[in-house]
Amino acid sequence: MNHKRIQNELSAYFDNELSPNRHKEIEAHLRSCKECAEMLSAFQKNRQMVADLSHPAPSTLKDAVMAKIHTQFQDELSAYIDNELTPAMRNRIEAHLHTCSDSSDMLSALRENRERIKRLEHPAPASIHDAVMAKIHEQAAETRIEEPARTPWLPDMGKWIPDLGRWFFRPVTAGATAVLTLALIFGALYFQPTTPQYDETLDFYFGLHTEQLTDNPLKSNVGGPLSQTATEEPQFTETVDDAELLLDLYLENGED
Amino acid sequence: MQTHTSLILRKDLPSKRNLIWSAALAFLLWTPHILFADVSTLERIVEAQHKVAYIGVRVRTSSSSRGIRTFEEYVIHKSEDASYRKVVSVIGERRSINGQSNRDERQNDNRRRENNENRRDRQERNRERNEWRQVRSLFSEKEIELIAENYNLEKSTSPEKIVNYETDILTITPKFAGRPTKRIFFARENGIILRVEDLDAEGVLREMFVYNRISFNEEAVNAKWKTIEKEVKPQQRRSFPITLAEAENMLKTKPVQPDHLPTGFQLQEVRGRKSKENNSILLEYTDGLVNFTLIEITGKPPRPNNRSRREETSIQLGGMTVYKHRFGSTDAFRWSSADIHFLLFSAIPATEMEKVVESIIQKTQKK
Repeated sequence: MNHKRIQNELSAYFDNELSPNRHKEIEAHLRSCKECAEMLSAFQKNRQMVADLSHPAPSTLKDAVMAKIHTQFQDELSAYIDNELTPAMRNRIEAHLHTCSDSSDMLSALRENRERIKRLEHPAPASIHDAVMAKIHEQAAETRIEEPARTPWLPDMGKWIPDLGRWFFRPVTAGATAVLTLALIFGALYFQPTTPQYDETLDFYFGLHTEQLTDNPLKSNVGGPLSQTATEEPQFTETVDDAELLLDLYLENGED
Repeated sequence: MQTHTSLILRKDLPSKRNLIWSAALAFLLWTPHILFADVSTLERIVEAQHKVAYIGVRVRTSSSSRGIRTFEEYVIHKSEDASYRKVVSVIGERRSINGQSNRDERQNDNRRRENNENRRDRQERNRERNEWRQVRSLFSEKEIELIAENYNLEKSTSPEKIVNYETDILTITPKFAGRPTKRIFFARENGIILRVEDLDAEGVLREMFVYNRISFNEEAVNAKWKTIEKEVKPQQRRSFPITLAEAENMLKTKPVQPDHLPTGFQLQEVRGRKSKENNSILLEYTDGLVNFTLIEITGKPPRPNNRSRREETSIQLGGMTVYKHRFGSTDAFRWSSADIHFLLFSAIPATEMEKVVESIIQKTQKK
């Protein structure tokens, strides 16, 4: 027989916790094995020493502990009636109720009160129910008018945004997005004309013509007379806009 | 002159033949003096622009049929590439020379101005006006030659001083009708232009500028340049110089050049311009002093704005409708032919330009 295994079971043997067969086997072994018998003897001596060292609990301790348990269970009695406790707690309270007349009495009192309250209750008149429901519908309708129509997908945004975020930050997706962004930027730079854009009206082209002349003191832009011919009456064919345009062209000459 | 005359009048010359030779010699000796004496003055003025730095304030006036506009501007000329001007004040309101415009006229003017789709925000424009603008003085030998060919140049001494500088005058008068006259007042000591007057074909003073303060002190120029150096920036022109072959590439067809040119005019420069909507080339013709520009555009035609449409007149030239518009004394012609949109701008008489237009139309019709 394995000594080590038997030695491990000596404490349970001593406490009489083994099955009868096992108990007998170990008993037979102890008769023939001096080593294990000595260990059992040492074990017994230790137990005796521990027992000799211990002091009896004060009588008040039990009362205090029981009072605490009692109070705790009584606090849970209402929940016990409403069937709101876990099965384990329910069993413990039921065990306590068998032994504790105070708690049983309290439980009975609680149940009696419940019955009395039930008898005091009257059903609300149907008119109140209708009035309250009508008011709720009315308020709901007003809220619908005031609030802008929600797009059907908007309430679901919260559901798919985290998924989208996880998808977006995947290395492959993030890389592809970066490449696409760069391609768009370079594409825009490549295709964007380097010269500024102008509104290409007759005035604009006239500006191109005068650009050559404006600042050159050796050039002249006043060849012909203002009137069409010398013989006809002076006709002021220029408009205000022309005068302004000529001034603008000078002042803004060389503008990009 | 006395020498030449005495050659002709000497009675003891051996023969008639010698007399003719002598006359020819005299003419050859005399004509360069007439032709080139004052060209050297013009060259001196041009040279001064390359060499002398200056800083000053000038007043510029510009007259049109609506009245005179005057503005003051700073000028800093450090070198040919670093030459800038800045308008500091604009004097005078838009007024007809017929007198004060009435209320309805002013309202119409304002309405027209506000409706003009090409006008940017006025405040923004005023801000831009007061920025330094690069001055590009395009003096070329070719232009000087053309001026000498097509105009008479005469140097004279001016009795008046301009900002305490003794001045001489170079008067450039046209050899052909319908061209302007220019009077250049320049500092005797260094050749810098102090005043320029432009007179139209009828002798009416139309444009002028005159310095009322100027300094040729290099230290003063450098000191001012340092203060404005960060503000100024070289400005790109809206068109770029190209060759005729490049112009053909841009248009996808050979540029049409007029068969008829007004007397003395030559092709000076070809420029190109590309935009999203179209490609355009500019053929610059000049007689030295006056330019006309032929613009050929492929792609979208130029858009006449509302004002242009309202004021345009149409004429028939070479069996084609040509639209005509006036910008001050400049005539603008607009027509389309052979998938090219043509624009022609010029300040020389419209009758001359109509011949140019006609020659272009005939050329495109033959294509």
